[in-house]
Amino acid sequence: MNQQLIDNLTNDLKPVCPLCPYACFIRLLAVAALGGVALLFIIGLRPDLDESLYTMTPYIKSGIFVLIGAGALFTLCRLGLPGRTTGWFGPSLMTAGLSALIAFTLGAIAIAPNADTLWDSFMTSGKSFCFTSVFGLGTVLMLSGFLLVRRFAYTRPALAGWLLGTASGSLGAAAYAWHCTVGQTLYVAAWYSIPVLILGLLGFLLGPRLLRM
Amino acid sequence: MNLDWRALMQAAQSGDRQAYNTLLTSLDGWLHAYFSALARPGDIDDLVQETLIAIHTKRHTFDPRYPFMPWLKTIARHKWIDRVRGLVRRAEVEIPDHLSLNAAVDAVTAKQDVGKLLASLPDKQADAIRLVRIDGLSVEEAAQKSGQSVAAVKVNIHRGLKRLMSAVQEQDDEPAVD
Repeated sequence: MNQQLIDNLTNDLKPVCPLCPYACFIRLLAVAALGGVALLFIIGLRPDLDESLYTMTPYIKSGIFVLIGAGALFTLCRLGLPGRTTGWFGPSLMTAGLSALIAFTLGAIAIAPNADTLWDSFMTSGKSFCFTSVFGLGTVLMLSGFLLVRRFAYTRPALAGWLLGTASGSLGAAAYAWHCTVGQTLYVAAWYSIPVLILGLLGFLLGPRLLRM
Repeated sequence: MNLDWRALMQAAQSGDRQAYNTLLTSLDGWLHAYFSALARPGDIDDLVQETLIAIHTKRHTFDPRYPFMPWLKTIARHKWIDRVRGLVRRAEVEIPDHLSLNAAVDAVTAKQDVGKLLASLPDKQADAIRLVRIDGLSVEEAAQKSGQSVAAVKVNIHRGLKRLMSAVQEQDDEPAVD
């Protein structure tokens, strides 16, 4: 029997509000939106915004990463409550975003006249700025995220870290898409996705250290 | 289970200490039975205590609209898996395949030496080091388990390690005797 421990825990009891995963999801999404606005405030919106608003490109670029990021974030919030499943909504959003990204990339490869065209679109100038911006904002969002989700109880912290890294990178990419004027599919698929993958890996490594129950 | 654990936890979340004490006392027995089927007898008490502390620190993650048992079992199972992983990790560190028998004997001797060195420290410092640096608990968990404050655990680890280092240094400085 652990009566002494039980008495100590009882004496330490304070009222708590049960965590609501949906409220946390909204809060995390709001933090990501604020981060995105801050980034765009610093680097500015794309100069051709007025014309681009009448095309589908910025919506698709941003929308795909919003789907992946929001899906990962939603799954992350569900995963933090022991005994609950991840549900279907978050993974479905992620799958939809990822499927769209893969479909657009394969489509771009299929219709490219030759390998040189693909290589040129991949190597379009500005890639290092794209990478740095998405990675930078994603890192800030991921670190803030680790602080915000510490109240959850993750029994799979590596998976939670991966979800947080992926969500942070994706939402960073979604915000950055409103600055970037490049519309080539392969360029976006590569230089927006690479920082997302790296952040996912970093989250996977950091999760067990920072989200220990 | 005669008690309604979900209702008791809901009351506990509102600050009802009597309900909380009843709940934890009841869970204590259930957890002993649960871990008896999974863990080595020597680990059961530790696992029960760690789970009770996790239940306490993460009680806000229980949603009273959902059943209590899946929440409880997930936490208990996680604590057990954590313990098994720790044992495997320690076993890997203690007896790696490539080490010779002599090295394995050295490792065991070193472990005994650590035990001796810890015994030379004041109890609170030894407890803090054992819980955090050897058992792998977080500072917060160690504080709750040892009855010390979080700050005291940190200070005791720092001071204890400092004393251990100077004790080891003194031993190294002693001239060898044949």
